[in-house]
Order: sequence, then C-alpha cells, then structure tokens
Amino acid sequence: MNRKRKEIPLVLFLSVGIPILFIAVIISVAFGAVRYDPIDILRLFALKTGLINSAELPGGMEMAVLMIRMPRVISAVVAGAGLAISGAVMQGVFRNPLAEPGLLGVSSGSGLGTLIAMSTGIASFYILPAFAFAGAMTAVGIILILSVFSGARTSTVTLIMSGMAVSAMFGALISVVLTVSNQYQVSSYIFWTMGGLVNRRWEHVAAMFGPVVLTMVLMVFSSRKLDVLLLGDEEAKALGINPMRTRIVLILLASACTASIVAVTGPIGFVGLIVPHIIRILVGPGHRNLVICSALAGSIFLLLSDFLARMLSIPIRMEFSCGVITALLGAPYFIFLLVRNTGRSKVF
Amino acid sequence: MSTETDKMQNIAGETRDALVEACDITVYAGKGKEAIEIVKNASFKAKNGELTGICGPNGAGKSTLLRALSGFVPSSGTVKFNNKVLGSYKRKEIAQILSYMHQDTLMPFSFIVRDVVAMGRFPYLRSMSELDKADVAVIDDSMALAGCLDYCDKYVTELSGGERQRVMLARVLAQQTPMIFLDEPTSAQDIRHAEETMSLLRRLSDSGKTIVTVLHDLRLAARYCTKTALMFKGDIVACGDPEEVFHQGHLEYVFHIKADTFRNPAGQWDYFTRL
Repeated sequence: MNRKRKEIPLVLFLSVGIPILFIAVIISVAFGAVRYDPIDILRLFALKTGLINSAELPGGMEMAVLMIRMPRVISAVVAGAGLAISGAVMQGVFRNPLAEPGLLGVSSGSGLGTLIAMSTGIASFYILPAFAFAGAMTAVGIILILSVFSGARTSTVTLIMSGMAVSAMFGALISVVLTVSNQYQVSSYIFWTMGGLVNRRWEHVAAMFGPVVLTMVLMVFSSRKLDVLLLGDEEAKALGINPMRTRIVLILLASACTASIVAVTGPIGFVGLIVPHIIRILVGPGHRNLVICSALAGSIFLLLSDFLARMLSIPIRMEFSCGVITALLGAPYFIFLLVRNTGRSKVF
Repeated sequence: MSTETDKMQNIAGETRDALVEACDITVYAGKGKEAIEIVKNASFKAKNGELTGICGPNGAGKSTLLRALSGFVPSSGTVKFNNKVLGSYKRKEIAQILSYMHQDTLMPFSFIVRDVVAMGRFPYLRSMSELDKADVAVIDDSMALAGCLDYCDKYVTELSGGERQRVMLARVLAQQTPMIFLDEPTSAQDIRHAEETMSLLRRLSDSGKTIVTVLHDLRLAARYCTKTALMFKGDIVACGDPEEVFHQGHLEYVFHIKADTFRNPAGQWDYFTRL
C-alpha cells in the first residue's frame, strides 16, 4: 500500500542535469537557419574564455553566435530558471500545486503595461519592458495592499480572491485600451501575448539576470521557512514564523522575478506550473532541492522549447513563439502525469 | 538501541520552568456589533508536571481557548508564560518554549514522514544549517515515542488520519519544548493508539512538562489527566480533579445528557449515558 521513498539526491540530479544543460546550450547555439559545427562552438567558447589562444573559425560565426544566438539562448536559460523558481515558490506559499504568479495579476498587469506603452506610441527597446514590469508590480501591489488592510488574519483564499478581482479589472482595462487602439497596435499586442525569445539581446539577459539570481539565492535561504509554511499558518506560528509577513515577502520576490522575465519575453505559460510539479516527483517536495532543481530543469525545458520553435520555423518560414511550444509540450505531459499518478500523491 | 527511558530523557531534556497563567481571556468572533464571545472571561493556570485536559461539548470554546493561550488568536485579558506577558516574547522564543499540535494537519505535497518530523527542529536551526547528530537522535526518539517509526520512510500524504496525527505528535515532541498544547491528539486514533498517546503524554508531564490538551473522550481524560477543565458556552464551569469535574450534575448541565458515573471492574472512573 504505502510506498517507500524514492527521491533522487541533489548531487545526482545536478551531475546529470548540468551536463544536459551544457549540451543543450551548445546544440541550440550551433543549429538554426545557419548551421555551425558544435565543435567550432566549443572552440569559440574556449577562445573567449582564454583556454586556447587561437582558432580557425568560419567567417562571420563569431558575430552571429555572440550577438544573435547566445543572447537568445542565455535568455531562455535565465527566463526558464526564473519562471520555474517563481512557480515552485508560489505553489509552496499557497499550499497549492496549481498556483503560479499569474494568480496574483502578474500576467494581466504586465499585459496592461505593455499595451499602454504600445498604444501611446512610446514603446521602445527599453520603455516596453519597463512598462510591463511596472504594470505587473502594480497589480501585485494592489492585491497585497488589499489583503494587508483587510486584516491580520488574511488567508490565502482572500489573496486568491483579490487576485481574481484585480486581474478581471486589469483585463477590462486591457479591453478598453484595445478598443481605442489601431489595428497595428492590436496585432503587435497579440503577438506580444504569445511570448517569445526572438531577437533578444544581451541587455535583455542583463535585465532578467539580477532578479532571477537574487530570487534563487533568497529562496534557497528561505527554503526551510517555505517547508514549514506548508504545515499551515498556526503550525508555522508555533514553529516561530510570522506566516503572513513571510508569505508577502516571498510573493513579492517571486512576482518581481516573474515580472522581470515577462517584461522581456512576454508571457510564457506552463514552465512555472509543470517544471516544479515534475521536480517534486523526482527529488521530493523539500524546497531547497526543489528550487535548485526546478531552476535547472526550467532552463533546459525553455531552452529546448525555444530550440524546437526555431527549428520548426525553418521549413515553414514563420517563427513560432516558444510560449506556444511550452504549452503544446507541457499540457499533454501534464495530463499524462495526472492520469498516471491518480491516487498516488493526494495533491488536492 | 536506546531504551524507552533514554528516549524520554532525550525528548524531555532538562526540566525547564513552564508556568502558564491566563487571566480573564475573552475571544470574539466577527467584528463590531455582530461579534460573539467564543471564550468568556476564562482564567486558567497550568504548571510543570500537570497534564490538563480541556473537555466540553462541541462549540464550547475549547480549541479557541487553547489557541488564545498560544497567542494565535487575539484575545482580551492576559496570558503569561513564566510570569512574562506572552506579547513580550519573540515568535522564535515562544517556539522554543511552546509547541502546538493541530487537530488535523494536511500536507499538500508528498513529504516523507521523517522530513515532516524534522520540521519540529526548525526553531533551533539556522537557515542553511544541516541537521546534526543530536537533531537526528531527537527526531528518531520522537518518532519512536509517538509510534510512527514503523512508517518513517513513507509519504505523509499516503497515511491514514490516525497515522498522520502520530506524525504530527512526533513533530511536536521533536520541538523539545517544556510546554505542549494539543488539540484533540487522539481524535483519529484507534483505542490502542489513543491509550498509548495519552499514556505518553502522562509520562511526559510526569517528567516535568506542562501539557494542555483538548479532549473529547472523558474516560481517557479521567484516566490520564492530572487536572481537567470543563467548558460550556465559553465559560470554564469546573476545573480541578477529573473525577470531581466529571460529576453527574456537571455532565448533565454541560452535555444535556443523563450520565451515570461509576467505577468499572478495573477500578477506573467510567460512565454510561441515557438520552
């Protein structure tokens, strides 16, 4: 009846995962509309890191790899890690495996911010992400302020309810702005909502890198608090934690992390939901291992999704968004897991 | 293998003062005019070596009183631990004095039993430190005493209600606090495990801990508690020696049921009821 544990140790997971990520990076950089030899990619890395002094490389490769492919690939790595960590944290904070930052208005908020920037014509390389980030944090801020002022005994249900209300309001505002926008603005907004990593530059990587790394480090440090929070509010109090304050800090952190990613990539679904779920089955639900392994797996998942999107786009000459791929890959696997695990782990 | 006594010794640790004094506790539910009193001007005291059972009908305010004593719900009146007002302690300090067991704790994710019990060590750990040998020994002994060592490698989500309750009991023991508050620790236990749980609590209180537990089973309360408090509509109507508190008249007044008390062949306090 009761099965004994079979959790993969952290060291084993990392010693398999990190090489996979490295290989995925090399392959992603090498293949595309123009193909390079993966060995040449390795040579270029070695040259740039000073491991070798000179190498004969194909003409134009250095430029293409360093300025076009690498930023996109590293964007995927950073964004995937951040989305997966935020998802894991939100699920822990809400004690619910279906939670994600979108629950607290990150998606609708960043959508409104982006749309405003596009419709007013001030959207530019830097302004657009700034507006998206500001919109997301406004939505999250309103929700958290609401729940703080509604009393000290705010439950997660109140948070979810106010999240729904604020999301609905932002959704309505999006409709209002869409109504007064022109056709070109509407279509560019719709394209943004698909989420993607096309034409991302090093500046984009830089914008996400700080929040993602900071969130990861802080979450690993707070992992024991996250575990204890799963026992319930009163149990957490009895163990010396202020559950609501801890929750608000963690939500703010996870939301800021997601917002900084969404600002750059647009909304990419399913990474934050499915990656922590799978990792929980593999390494167990303890948050230290969960956060570290989710970050790694999220990177690999988004990188491969983007790679697939790029490869598929070559024959049809149209670029798919990697958000489409993550959902197309993620949803069936998720359903498969649900069917296979019915009755195993009673997750609601 | 350490003996039962060693395990008790390890969990009980050195006896620390654990005096609980509550004066004029009133707890309201709701706000403004519609607020109702769940606990009314209750005063209560428990000290080292005492196992206090709080009994009474559903909705009498037993759990609420226990939560007010732990500082989980706002209340008027004063609660003092060791002559110091509860509010002047930091949460982490309280966590090293008082542990609290909920009636039913559901874990949303499939943790392993051992890892849940290990959470009881939280108040003593720094954020990145690993469990040391002493921690592991405390966790093992807690599980052995609570009776969940047999299934310590299983997923907590796959356990029955009673098994899960014993995991939470072990978690509370692993916290090694001089005060232990429990909300119906035997509610999901079969008769054997209910007796074992109560007997364990009694041995812990005999070793110097201050234990307060909400109980529905009057027989268990009479058999194991050193003191009982009977609650009715937010009041503590009687408090003291269990057999005096569970007087026929009291039971009829509080439970609205005719109960005849007697001594069973084993010489223990017992009762039967007629509607």
